[in-house]
Amino acid sequence: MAAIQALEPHAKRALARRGLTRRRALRRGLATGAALLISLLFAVPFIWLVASAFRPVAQTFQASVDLWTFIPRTWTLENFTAAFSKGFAANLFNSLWVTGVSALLGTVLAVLAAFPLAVMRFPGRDLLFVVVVFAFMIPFEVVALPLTSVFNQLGLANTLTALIVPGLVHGLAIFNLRQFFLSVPREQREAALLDGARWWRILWQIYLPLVRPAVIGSAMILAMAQWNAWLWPSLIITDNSKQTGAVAIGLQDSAYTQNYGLAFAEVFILALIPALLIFIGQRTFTQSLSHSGGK
Amino acid sequence: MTVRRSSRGRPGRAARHEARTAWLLLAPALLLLLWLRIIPAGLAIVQSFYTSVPGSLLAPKWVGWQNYLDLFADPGFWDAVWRTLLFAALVNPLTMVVALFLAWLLTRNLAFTGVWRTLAFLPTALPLMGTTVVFGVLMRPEGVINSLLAMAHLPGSGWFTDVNGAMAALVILSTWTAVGYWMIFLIAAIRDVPRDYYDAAMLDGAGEVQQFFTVTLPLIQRQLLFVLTASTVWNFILYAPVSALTRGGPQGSTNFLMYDIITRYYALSSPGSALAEMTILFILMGVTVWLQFRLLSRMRSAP
Repeated sequence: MAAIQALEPHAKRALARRGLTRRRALRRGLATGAALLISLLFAVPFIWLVASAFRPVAQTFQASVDLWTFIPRTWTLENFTAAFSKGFAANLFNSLWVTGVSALLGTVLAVLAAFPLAVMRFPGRDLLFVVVVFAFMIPFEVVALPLTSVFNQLGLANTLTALIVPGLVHGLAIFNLRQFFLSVPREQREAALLDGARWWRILWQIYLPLVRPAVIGSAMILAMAQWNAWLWPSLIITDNSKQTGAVAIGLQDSAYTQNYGLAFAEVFILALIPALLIFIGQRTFTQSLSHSGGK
Repeated sequence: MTVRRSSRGRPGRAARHEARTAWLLLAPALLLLLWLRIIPAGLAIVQSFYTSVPGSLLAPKWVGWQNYLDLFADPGFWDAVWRTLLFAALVNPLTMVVALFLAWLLTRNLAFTGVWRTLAFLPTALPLMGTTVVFGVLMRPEGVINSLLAMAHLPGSGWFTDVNGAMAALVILSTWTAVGYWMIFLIAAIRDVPRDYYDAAMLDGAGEVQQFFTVTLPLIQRQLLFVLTASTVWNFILYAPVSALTRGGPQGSTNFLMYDIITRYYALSSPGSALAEMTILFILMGVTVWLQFRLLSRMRSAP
């Protein structure tokens, strides 16, 4: 990538001699314009949300649309204080805890499952891979209803454990890691086996460092699924202090009709954390899903 | 993808040790698979053949195919099937086209590509219920979206309060939410296409658009299919916005199967019937994904 960029001024100069630069620059400008326009289209609701979180709710519902629709006329933190005085801190903590534990344990489970499916040899491996991935591709929502009674009988209703367990496995996370393990040259495995290395050492010291981007990517897939989960927490948690942030927005929306300022502040906080992670890890995340990314 | 090699020539003990270790490593995931997918799916199917009254002491009663027959006789059910399929047919192609276009555009080495990517990915950061709250307000009949449309001299809509508008609004909401996520997968796929292919196409005099159709598209087909099926599955079970904004209405126009199932289970207290509907939704999902595989594989084998 860097090499291509470094080459570019060179290539441009060569093209300039042939008089092609202007057409290319024009096309480039057009493409950048299109990218800007579409990205802004995606950003408009987000910008409006940020503005609405930081202004008195009456200003959000002003009749006319102008610049002040997207910028607060008066800045205030009252929506945030209102949210936290209703106990949103507990909901936020639940979300962070559930997401963190699920992503951490889930990534370990995904690595442990993907490694044998990609690297080790045993009878029935390929069939097992198909079964595992297809079974986990069944959306959890489809089996959520019968599972509520199972979790209730186990006494797990209204516990954070009930929220963590279903988020521990994700077909996509296993699939993604396996593809990366497959891209590691087989010679690595054979050499290590000749040296008499144990399996856990081959995984931990040879394979894992080579697929680090995939580990991050899988952790992000697991984390996003849990952070945004809605149906399952709303079914299994009835005690609001045990509820996750994503569901708490909905609850307060219906319980305190029209208290939108509060909801906007909560949505803003819930979006801010992953948005920051994305902004920092945008490149790594893209790489993490790209099979040649490890190289 | 996988290279199958026989373990002939290796000492049997090492091979047995390898197999044992492999199963040991896989055990936690397999147990969770059993507990969280296979057993509940089996339970759901079994319970769909019973009727029961939640909270009562009466034992569930075996009714055979009755729950299914009742559903098939209910015009409301068929309407929900039709609405679900219509939504899927609208939202998935739209999502795919926008995601693919963005992925292509944002792999062009433009200025500030990272900023554009982050902006397009931002909606994914919002929890679905957050998006729902935001769009619920923006798309009110007197809301910001309609005002902006009016300023551009475009017709507005009642959106969530309008029979046709509600479907359109949910399509927009779902697309807005998901495009950034799938875009990332497609960007990764496009970046995996070896540069030599483009260089070869360029030597043949292919322009950027032609390169996209002759090089990029054929070479990312596998990932495209994967994203399409994942998006399809995701949209089949879309629940939060329906539950919070339209409650299946107006006039049943957004009464998708997933919403109908939850309503049947809780509001109507008929778990057997709801789980029968769930089983049907699952079959519908499977058939749709299978069709997508068939159609796209045929495209691949065509020149």
